Amino acid sequence: MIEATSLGIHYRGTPSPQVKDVSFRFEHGVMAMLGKNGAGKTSLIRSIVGLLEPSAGTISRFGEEQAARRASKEHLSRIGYLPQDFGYVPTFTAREFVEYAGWLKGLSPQRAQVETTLSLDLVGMMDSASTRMGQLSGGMRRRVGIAQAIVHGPELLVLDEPTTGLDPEQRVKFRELLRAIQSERAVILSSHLIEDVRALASRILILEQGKLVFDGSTQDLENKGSSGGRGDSALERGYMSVIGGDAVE
Amino acid sequence: MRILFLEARNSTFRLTSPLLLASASIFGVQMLYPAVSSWTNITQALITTSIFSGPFLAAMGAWQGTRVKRLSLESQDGLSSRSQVEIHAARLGAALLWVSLGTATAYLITISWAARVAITGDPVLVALLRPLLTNVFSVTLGYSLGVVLRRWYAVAVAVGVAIALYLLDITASIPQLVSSFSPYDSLDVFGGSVPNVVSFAGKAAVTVALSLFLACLAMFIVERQARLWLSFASLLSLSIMIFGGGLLISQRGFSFSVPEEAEQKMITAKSAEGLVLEVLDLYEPVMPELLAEWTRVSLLFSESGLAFNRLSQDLNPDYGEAPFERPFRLDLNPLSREISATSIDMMFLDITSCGTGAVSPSGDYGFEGDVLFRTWVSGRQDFGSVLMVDTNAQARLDGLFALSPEDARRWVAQNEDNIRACSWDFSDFPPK
Repeated sequence: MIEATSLGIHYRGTPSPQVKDVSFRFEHGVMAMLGKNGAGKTSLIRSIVGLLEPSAGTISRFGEEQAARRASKEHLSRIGYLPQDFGYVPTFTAREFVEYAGWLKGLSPQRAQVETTLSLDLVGMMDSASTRMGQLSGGMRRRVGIAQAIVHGPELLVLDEPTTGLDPEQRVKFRELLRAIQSERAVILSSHLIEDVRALASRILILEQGKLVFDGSTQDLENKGSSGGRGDSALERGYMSVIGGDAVE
Repeated sequence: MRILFLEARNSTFRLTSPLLLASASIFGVQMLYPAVSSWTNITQALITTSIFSGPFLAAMGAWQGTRVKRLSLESQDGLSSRSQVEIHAARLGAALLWVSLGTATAYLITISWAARVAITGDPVLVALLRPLLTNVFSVTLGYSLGVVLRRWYAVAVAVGVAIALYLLDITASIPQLVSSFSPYDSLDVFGGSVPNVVSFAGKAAVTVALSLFLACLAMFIVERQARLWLSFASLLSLSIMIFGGGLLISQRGFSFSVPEEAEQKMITAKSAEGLVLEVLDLYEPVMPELLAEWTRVSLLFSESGLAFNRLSQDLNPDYGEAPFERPFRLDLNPLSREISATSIDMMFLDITSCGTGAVSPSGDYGFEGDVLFRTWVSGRQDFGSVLMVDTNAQARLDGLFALSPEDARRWVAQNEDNIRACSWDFSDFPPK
């Protein structure tokens, strides 16, 4: 589905690249990307979805390589994306926002209408479908954001820090929601919240200063941690071990 | 269509456009003649409204065009599997939908205002279309700049460009033909003017083509695909522009023309006393007043050498000195609130150029006597803003009005030389 080979991303005007020589292949399930702030997760995700052209290497989507080019329109319609801070027109109702996103993804206006109802129902937002985006709470807006990401039935769903700003109850609800939708599609999830990753992902990538320093299963990462290392859970200890932060101060 | 309406429901233009154009109409209706009305005049007022609205609509268009950056919609738009042309067509289309409704509001206000008096002439559709097309151009100009520049300063740039285009028009050194290409080309219209259909058709073509070309140019910058179609649309717009430009050149840029006298629609009326007036049909609403006032003057002059019994409207009046001509000119000014009184004022150019030309006032009441006489003949009961040194001047005026018709005619005949020579003594005026 997605294959990155020696992928590099270097923003103009910055001293060092944001992503360096990253290679991975992803087919199905839920893959989480972990890393500190500024590790290059968002840059990598933006490159995966086609918003950012890689400065080095290639990225193949759905079996087609597209080196140094943005994703084709056809590929874009097969990807759903929820950015970390997604924009919206405040006067759009939740229904209009999702419907419009569906249209942007190539659905006919009539089909977008039908799929919007299904998506909003799936994320539990039907009751607020007529509420303006600007009047929704942060958590509700996130759910609408997910609805817009899945409205066109993408094969790949990419979520960048989807639980940022959510309270504990909203995060639990979000996990339940993601479990409900992951069965039908592959999901790439970027987060710095270990609990979310543990609850949802089967595979983890860890980025450190733009480099891929770990690529394995949840179990593999847990095994990396030492019993005396830092962290409250095996996964946290494994993560700390990988990023070199497990030394007791 | 559903997406167009979705965009329309959420467009910046939804409320602001009808409000703006309705407000601008207030300035536009100032161009309407106060006492008469014609479709030419309505067209001129509507065009003024659209020119006045230009910078504001351009600003709103630019604001709408910067929506992607302002609201962080880059990922939504950037990852769309639809072309940017399709996306922006819906957004611009929604804006234009509201602007069309706003323009319709302006039409409604202006026509209703004009309809308080009878509207004369025939509406010329292609000329009436111009305000709408000018508004479309303003919005497209702003929107295109907003899409390309992406940031807030696009609003300032759009306003600047719209104002610059307007200034280009009013700069005296720019030939009429060049300024006629500008969508903000203002118009000089005279009472008997009619829209030049060919010129307006050319203007419509140029304005539509400019709007299309601007939109294509913006899309060229933001869209990597659909370039073949964009190239085709750009070439089409250039072709339309050349065609429209050709039409404008053929008319030397003149939007309105005064028809040959034979083609002018004139109306004639005759008073019971035998005075015949012939005027443009534009003045039909004030014809009874004109006839009554000029009959009064005709009767006043009837026993003197100034007598007349027929007047035709002077369609091309010469404002130079032309004293002692009969029949007198009938110079009607549609911009005047007192068309009859001002037309009588203009008649005096054919009698005497007292104080303004070769004839100087003489006598112990020279200048004031002349003012007093003119005020009386024009039918005004007071001097208005004219300052009279003689504190008894009002009593003199009342005295003239108090004369019986026979005495008034006799008084004019007796003072004909004074009238022509602008030579008055205080003792010439009643009461004696």
